[in-house]
Amino acid sequence: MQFNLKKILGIVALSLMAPFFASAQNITVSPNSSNYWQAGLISYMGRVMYSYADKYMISAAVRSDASSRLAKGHQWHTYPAVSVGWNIHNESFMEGSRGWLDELKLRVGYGETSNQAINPYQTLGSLGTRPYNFGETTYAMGYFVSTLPNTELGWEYSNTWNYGIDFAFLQGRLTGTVEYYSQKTHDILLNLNLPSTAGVGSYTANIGSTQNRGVEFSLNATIIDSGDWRWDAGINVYANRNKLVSLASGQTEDRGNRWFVGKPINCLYDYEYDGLWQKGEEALMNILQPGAAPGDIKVKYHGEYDAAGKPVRAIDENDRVPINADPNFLGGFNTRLQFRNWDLTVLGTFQAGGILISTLHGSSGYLNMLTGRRGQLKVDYWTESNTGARYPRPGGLNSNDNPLYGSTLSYFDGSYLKIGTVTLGYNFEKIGALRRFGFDKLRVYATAQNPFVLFSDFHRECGLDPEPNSRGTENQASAGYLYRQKVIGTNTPNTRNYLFGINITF
Amino acid sequence: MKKLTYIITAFAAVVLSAASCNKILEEQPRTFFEPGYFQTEAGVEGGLTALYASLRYVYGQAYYFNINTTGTDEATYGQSGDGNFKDADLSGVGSLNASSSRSDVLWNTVFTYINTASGIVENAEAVGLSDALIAEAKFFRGWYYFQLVQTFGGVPLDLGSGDLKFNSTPSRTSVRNTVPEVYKAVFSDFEAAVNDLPDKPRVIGGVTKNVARLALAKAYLTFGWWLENPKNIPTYPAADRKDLNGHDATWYYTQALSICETAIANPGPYGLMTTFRDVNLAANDRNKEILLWADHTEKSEQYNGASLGYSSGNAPDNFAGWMMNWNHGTVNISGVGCIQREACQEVGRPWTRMAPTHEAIAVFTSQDITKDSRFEGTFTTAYYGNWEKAGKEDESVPGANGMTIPRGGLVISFIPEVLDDIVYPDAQSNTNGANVGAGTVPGRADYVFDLNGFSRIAFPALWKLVGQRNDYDKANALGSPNAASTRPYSILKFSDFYLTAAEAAFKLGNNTKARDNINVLRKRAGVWTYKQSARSAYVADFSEELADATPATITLDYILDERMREFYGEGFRWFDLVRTQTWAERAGTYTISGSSWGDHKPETFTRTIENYLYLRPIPQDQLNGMEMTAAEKAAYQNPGYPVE
Repeated sequence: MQFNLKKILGIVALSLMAPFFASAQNITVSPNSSNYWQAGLISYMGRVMYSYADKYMISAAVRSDASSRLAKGHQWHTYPAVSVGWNIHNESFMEGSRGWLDELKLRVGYGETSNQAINPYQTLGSLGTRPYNFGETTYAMGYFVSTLPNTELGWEYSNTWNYGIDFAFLQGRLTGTVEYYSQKTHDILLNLNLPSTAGVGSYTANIGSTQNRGVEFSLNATIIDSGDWRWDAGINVYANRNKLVSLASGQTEDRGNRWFVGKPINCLYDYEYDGLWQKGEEALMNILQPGAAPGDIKVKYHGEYDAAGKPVRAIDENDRVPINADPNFLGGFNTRLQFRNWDLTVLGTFQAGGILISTLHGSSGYLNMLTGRRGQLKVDYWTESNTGARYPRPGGLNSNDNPLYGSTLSYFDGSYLKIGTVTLGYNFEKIGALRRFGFDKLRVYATAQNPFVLFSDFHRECGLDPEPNSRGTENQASAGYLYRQKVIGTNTPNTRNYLFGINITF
Repeated sequence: MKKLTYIITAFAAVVLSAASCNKILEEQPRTFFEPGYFQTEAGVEGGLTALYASLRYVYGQAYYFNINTTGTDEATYGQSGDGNFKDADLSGVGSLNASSSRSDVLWNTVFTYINTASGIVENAEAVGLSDALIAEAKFFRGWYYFQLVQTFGGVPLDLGSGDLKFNSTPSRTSVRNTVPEVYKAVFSDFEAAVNDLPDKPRVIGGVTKNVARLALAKAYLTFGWWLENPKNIPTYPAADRKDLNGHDATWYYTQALSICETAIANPGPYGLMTTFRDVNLAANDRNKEILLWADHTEKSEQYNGASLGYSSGNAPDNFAGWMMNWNHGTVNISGVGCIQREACQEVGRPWTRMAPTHEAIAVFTSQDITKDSRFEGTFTTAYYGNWEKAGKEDESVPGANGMTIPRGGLVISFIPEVLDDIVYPDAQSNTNGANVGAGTVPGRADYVFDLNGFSRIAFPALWKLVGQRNDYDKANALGSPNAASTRPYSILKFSDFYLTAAEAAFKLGNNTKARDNINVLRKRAGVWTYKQSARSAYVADFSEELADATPATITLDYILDERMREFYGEGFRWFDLVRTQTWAERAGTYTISGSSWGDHKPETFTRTIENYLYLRPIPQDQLNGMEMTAAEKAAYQNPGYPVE
């Protein structure tokens, strides 16, 4: 049993450096930047573990939690977890394999976990503030209802089935695991946006259920181990498929909140980029996008065609579709090669598929406007002699100063292979001269961090690291995505480092 | 056995101590308020302040200013106008639909505050609040419903918990009431406000009896027109042209007229300023002619709601004044940028998003603008050099015709007529046309744009809304011109009583009353104390000449012309044209020169203004956010707009 009490007191001081003011600089603390919150959690837990003859193992646990953040009547949740393991390699029928099989273990588990990761006080609703002045120097603070209370807010909980096999062959030369899991999460806790006519912006609710299914695979091997050579390598690959199974309201989609049943919960909702309009396509262009010209962005049409094969309407809101941005699989690898005193280590990560959102190239960053006399990202844009470009013609159709449908320019294929570190070292261990100086060990090494990125469209396009570095509402001129989506924004980019070092032991 | 006893004791101890810690599960916020706060007196007053603050999110918001001005007979899109402005222009360069119409600013902002107002009204009685304070909340609720019904047609009175009730349920469905139902609620709120509000404002800029009277008179007038519907413009949701209180259009016109006359006879602390220029002059902000404004201040960044140094153009900043302002910073003579961007009303920050049409200028010049001060009091037509404030030491720059322009001298002039002797350069260049393709006129040192040169890129800027700062050395520095305006944004003016009375009298066939009311403002327009274009004092009084020049028979066109001369560029023109159903006839074509420097060839453009456009589309976000069937959503949208 544990008590968990957190009190956080944070004050952020804002320094109002106003060079235009002749008076002394002020430090004022805006009420919007001061915060205090307190949350409580009560938990009870019990666990039983039993193992028989190192062959059969079972572990069972029960947990009960209550959180202050949830609504009264919904604060407690009790849930079990059971797992069994079977050391197959210790079975009598596996005697014959003792020479080459070191370990073969089968694991099956079922568990329930729960989550209450919402901010404290969400069930109470809140008032927003509106500071106002009456006349030049009379000030007052206004309050209005900005989030509604929710008296039904309860735990978000997940059921997970997990199946795994651990194995080791050839005296530990080859080890690995394979795992498959299937997880269903119910009563997801998320902020639900309400239409304007509700009179209130949003409230937190249990909005539906999602499903995650995935496979994880990892393998470690000592490939060569004879004489002066030794080569170890390891690789792990994992893939996850996420799907929104149902919404609490019973609807099949909630466009305002970007939830579509049958699609991942973090899918995109946008037009689909379909190249640029070229000369000769005017007939189609004038139907789908009146006012466009060759060089403007073309997006996919999802409407109907008439008997003559012509689209029946222009591009509009119905051509925005949910787009799956999740990757196909991800993973990492490491390898170490040793020859006498030399060693070479390479670490890397990779991803296949998925969509990388780069706000630098899209509408929300305001860096790729292709109009006006201002700072502009270096991109290959359409001109009459360069019709194969990805980016539209400068000064084309625009909306809010950005090219029309410019948000479709943010999406890049998310695949990449990144070499994270390459280290080359030399061990001076056996050289006698060392002892004279009193050293026991001396190692010299050179490391390159983030030396290469391969197979990445985005990296080829602009040289930046192809992994998101910001939340969907951050590091861009105007928030283009939801907070829970990860994007590339104007955050400090990854650096490539070259290090030289010496390790001395004495 | 002993072991079992220990286990039981330990377990019991745990259970007992657990029972006493249930207050761990209690929540008590300490840095913000939750909706229960509205049941206290301080909470209700905080709610009222929020209602005033909400005005900043609608008035001063440049894109909302745009949707009520671009596409009318006042303005078209400027050279830098993007989709927001081109869509509103209805001239074939954009498309106005549920995702593009910027009337969404109104819809997406005001329901929260309507809800807050209903909450105040409900809780106020329990708290023992005075009727006057309840009436302030009712005024705001009525005002926002009045704006909504004029813009969209019938709108929902029930936000989720009943008609005009405070909603605290997460409601995701909505049903639109009809136009007469909404007006019934509006009248009830405004009438209570007229009854209970004090004569003098509770706070600076607070609403009073006369503010409510003007709002009520305008609502009566607008509803009278809706009942009469002379041009057969359809309404939505479907409703008979019948008043739920049983009155007819004539009754409403009569009421509107009599309310205006009562207010004029009992002005309280309000009244007309001596000259027209004084009404909108920054130094006179919050004067007695302005009944309601969205306030800002340069003395406190926090309570201003916007940065005092730089704004990137979002509500609640007051940035509407940037829209109809041309890029005077391009003016360059011999390497000197003559017109430096300064935080003063004569210069300001230019976004060149909107431009006045030649027809709009003609409405002003149809009067003798040497006598009628309203043209000078609306537009900036003269730009003086202020390059020394940026540290440039030149004593003078070469002007036109071999003459020189001294420091602080006149550099650029906009003359609103076609001049026979003006010579334009062929193209923008550094030695001709002051780098902006301006022309020269014999005998003048300044560079001139005549009416043909009024283009989408160079035009007389709207002087009224430009920000003015008082916290910098005006003789030697430029201030913070890139911040949003710290001036209040005017919403209702005392002069509107006269024009509303004139229109109501006209509808009742009372030509004399219409003419007399119009003449009050025309006489005031004839009084001069200062000439903006000459930057010098000028005392003159042409009241009698202007009053005599008023036509003997007042027509609707004349009333609309007078409304433009009085209220040009204040962000309400679309309502005037839609109420009087004259939008297509007055704004169907417009003339303006092109989008490049040096373009002085006027072109005429045609707008397609169909009847369904008289109601703006319900914003797409609203439709996306509702949990209703596709058929119900299609029925929720105003007819004529593509359903998405």
